[in-house]
Amino acid sequence: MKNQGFQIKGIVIIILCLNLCCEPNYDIPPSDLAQVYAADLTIKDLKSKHVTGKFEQWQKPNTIVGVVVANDRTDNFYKSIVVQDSTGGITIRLDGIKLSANYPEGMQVAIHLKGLWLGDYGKLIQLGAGVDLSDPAYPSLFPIPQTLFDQYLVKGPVASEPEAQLVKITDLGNNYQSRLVQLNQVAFVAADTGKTYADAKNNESLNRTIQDCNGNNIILRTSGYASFAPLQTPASMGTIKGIYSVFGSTKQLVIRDTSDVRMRFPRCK
Amino acid sequence: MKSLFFILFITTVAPKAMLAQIKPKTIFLQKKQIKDSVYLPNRLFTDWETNTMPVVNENELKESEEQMPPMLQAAKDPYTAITGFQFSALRITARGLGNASNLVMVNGIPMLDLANGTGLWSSWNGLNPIFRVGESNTVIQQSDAGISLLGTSSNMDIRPYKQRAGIDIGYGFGNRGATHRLYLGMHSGLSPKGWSWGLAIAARASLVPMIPGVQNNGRSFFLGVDKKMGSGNVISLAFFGALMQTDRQAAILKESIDILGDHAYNPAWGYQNGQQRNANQTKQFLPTLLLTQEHKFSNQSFLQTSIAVSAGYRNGTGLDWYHAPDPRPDYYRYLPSYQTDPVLKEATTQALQNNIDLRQLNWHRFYQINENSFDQIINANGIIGNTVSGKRASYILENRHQDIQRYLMAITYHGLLKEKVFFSTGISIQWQRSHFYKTVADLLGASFYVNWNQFAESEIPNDPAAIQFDLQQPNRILKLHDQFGYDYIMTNHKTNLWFQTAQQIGKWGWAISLELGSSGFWREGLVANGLFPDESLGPSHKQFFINNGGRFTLNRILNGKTRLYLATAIQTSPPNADNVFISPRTRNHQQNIVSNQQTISAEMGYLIQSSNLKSRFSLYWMQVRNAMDVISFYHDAYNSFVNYAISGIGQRHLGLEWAMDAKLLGQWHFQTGIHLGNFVYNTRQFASITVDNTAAELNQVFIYAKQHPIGGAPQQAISIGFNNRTNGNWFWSINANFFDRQWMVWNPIRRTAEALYPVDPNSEKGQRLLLPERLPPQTNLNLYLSKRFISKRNSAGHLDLSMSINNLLNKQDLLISAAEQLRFDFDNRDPEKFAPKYFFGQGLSMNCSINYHF
Repeated sequence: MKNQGFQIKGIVIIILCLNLCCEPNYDIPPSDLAQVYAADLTIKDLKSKHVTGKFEQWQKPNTIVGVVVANDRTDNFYKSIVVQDSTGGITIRLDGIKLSANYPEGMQVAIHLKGLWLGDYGKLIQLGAGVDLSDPAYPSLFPIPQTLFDQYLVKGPVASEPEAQLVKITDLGNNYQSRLVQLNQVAFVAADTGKTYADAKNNESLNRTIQDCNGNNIILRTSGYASFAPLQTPASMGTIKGIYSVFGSTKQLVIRDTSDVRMRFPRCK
Repeated sequence: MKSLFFILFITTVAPKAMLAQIKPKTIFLQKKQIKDSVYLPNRLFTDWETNTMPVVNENELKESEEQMPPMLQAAKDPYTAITGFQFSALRITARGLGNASNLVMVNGIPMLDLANGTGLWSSWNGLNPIFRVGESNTVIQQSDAGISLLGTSSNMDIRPYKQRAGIDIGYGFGNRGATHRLYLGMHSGLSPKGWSWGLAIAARASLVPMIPGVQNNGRSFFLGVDKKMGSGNVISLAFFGALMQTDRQAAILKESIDILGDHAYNPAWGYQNGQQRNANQTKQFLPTLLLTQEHKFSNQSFLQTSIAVSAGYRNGTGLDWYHAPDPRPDYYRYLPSYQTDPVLKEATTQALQNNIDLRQLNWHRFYQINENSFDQIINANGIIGNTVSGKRASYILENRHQDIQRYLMAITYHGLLKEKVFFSTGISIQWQRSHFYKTVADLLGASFYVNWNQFAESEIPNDPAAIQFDLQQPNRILKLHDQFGYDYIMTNHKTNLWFQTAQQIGKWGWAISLELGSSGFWREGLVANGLFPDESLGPSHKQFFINNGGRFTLNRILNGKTRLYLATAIQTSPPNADNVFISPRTRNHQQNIVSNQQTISAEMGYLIQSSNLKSRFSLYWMQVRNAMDVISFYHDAYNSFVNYAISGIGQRHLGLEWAMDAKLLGQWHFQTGIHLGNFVYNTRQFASITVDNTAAELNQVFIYAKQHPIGGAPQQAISIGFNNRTNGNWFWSINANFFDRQWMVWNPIRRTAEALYPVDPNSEKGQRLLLPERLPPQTNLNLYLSKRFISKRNSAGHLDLSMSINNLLNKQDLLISAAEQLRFDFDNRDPEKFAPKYFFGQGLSMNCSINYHF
């Protein structure tokens, strides 16, 4: 009998102890989007320090702040994002895929420049992490390694993306590099209507020509890896938004997806 | 060879001289109760509770899901008694066959997960004082515990009237997995009216994680009652179960160790608001109700019938991601080796060294990305025009479920064939239904996830429905705890009829064991997915196998304490379902040719069992043919997930086992155990490669596996130890163990012509690609100390204090296992691009316990 009392107490104690090991409740972290650093340099000023064909390492602890206007969401941009402020835009080479998760369009980003390199690819000014001399004839920028993203890029809040700058084809020049621009009253040239944006089957990029009513042309360049590559170009006229880019002396427009192309009106005669 | 002759000399000549004076006596088939220190002290808390297994890849995962106990078998065999625990640190299993060759039973019922062939040890985790091996059936010792022709079959009799009456209270404290363990058990003993009952509860918890990011919690219970009716009839009912939660430790790259200088690095966890959170948590609970009836016809014959029902689950969490960067911190693109520029290499190294969020899971990042992950789903939940928009998760924590139901029956009869010739026979029937599916365990701050198969996206241009996991409800919006992904039932059944008998005529004895079995399995898909609308839903082809096997043992008693034996066995065994179904998560497809695996074995041995010396020396040979396997991984050349359905696997296991426990002066004992094994693949294997998304056969290749060593545990191990039991009830033991001939588990893909071409196999690079890495020899040292205080008032009462220290020298780099990754660099054929992963053991680990019995 004496033992029984002890047994019951024992059971109660053990059951209490058993209840101690409950499942942990993990705290949900706050949405800790970092306080964006104040810019002490504009993108225009940064780009002005670049000499075409050369590479310059940024030595001072400067910061530029911009908004992401393009990334690899549809794989039309590869291992790069495009950031612009009110003065200009720049392409940042990042050694990662699925960058759109980290840097969605509309996200404010502060970029610490110290240690980064300025360079250009076919005259398109870019920021990278070093200079790849493995092919001495064609030196190029190393993209920033994924492990170092947070060292150079500080993420800010996401807002709606900036308004595209309304321009004419003839206006487009280096000032507009890596900026989101919009062309009105343009259409694909007749030979390029009803064609795919790119060759998705062979993953090859293609150029399509866009023309305004005055007969001025600009290339629309699309990657064969873009998710919309197999879609067909419209025949009508309207507006197109995209990132202005250059390859050598060729002026190019690169769209983020086909919602950048709104052509529903009859073509110019 | 010299060492072999030396060992032969020691085990054959020396003992004869020592034992020349001992009178001849028949020992075969006798159940001897041996109380010498050959046997491990009875531990209330054993070490296997704390093992966490490595996760290298899916293929390895399926082998390592069940925790392996070091010793639950053949305690009367000197070799197992000495080496069972000491060799367990490096997961050595008898003769390199893994645990599949050993049968563990509770009241005669086999405890095996038929879906993947692993033992269900965890079902009674923490209840070790009740679940003790009562009898084992081995090649040298026959009992009624069923048969396992190639390994050991052990039975645990958990009926309360077989347990020691009284109350047991135990508390353990240590740094192995769980930091605190509690046990309370009580058994009434047999009442005059024939009743007997037992109750036990156990708990363990790691309030402070001893291995970073790894916490273990568990609770278990046992309830049992017996009624003895008349002199030979006992009915017993038992109900037991163990809830276990375990965090996994991930295998790591050499590069990570070089960068961080830490062998305990575990990339499976990260901080979330200051709290360590592991993404790979397993949880299991498989309570069992067991009814046993025993009827004794006479002292020489009895019939035992057991019926059991089990229902429960085994779950494991993991991260899933959609259109987001790989969350694993040691993903190859994040490491310095991925950088070609020395400056960036160095910068990456320093970043990893200085920022814990880069080398562990970055939970805050997952939440942050989910916070900004706005998306719109058109025709959501299969309703045309229904658009759902919001924060669609880029990362989630998913829970992979296996809900299990088991129905089991076993009958054992023990009787007299003729005078002095006993036999036992039995039948066991197992039926198991496993439901496999996934649920959303945590949306990590997002509002929803979508039931899409992102790996099927490449099929979309041709087939817009390809990404649907469930065609009946396309674009299903998933909330917390919603079911998603694959959903199928695997049904397995197995029936085994066995018979064994043995006879001793003078100095000669023989034993024969026979088995005849049938088994089968089939899959039943519960959803039609977009990739395989016709092959995913509904039942698959039903596999059915007939197996048989037999073992014959001959022995010759040399004198009362020594004997020689010879044994040979042949067995066919069915393949596991996961080696037959090519991709059970998506479809019903099976390997083209499915056949039984055949094993032939032969062994000879020499056994000494006296009060001063216990020893077994054995030589064995074993040949396995027609084994099968299926592996799946991302194939860089085909740019897609592929399945390799491998058949024609042959293995040869050759080895020597020797163990000795010798009583020296007083109560001093010297123990040694040696295993010298040589395990190789000895056939050229055949693989059919299919694309996971379309089941289209891409190629048929040979795997040039001949003479490649079997990777995994060390093939050679030596244990040397001393122990001492004093009159004051002190016991201590110290053992040093040496391990060698260990190879990493190698990737069959690298041993194909398509992987090697155009590299010259004889070039240095070719050799690096082909030769599996041999792991370095290793040593460890274990100490055990205990003291028993006998109650003065109650002679049965006692208090035990014990302390066990494993890896006494605190070697941080004790390598348990290693495996090549299945992913292979088909562009440059660089073996280092997807480098092997290593799994290290804990440094010094200690457990102290206090147990009181009254």
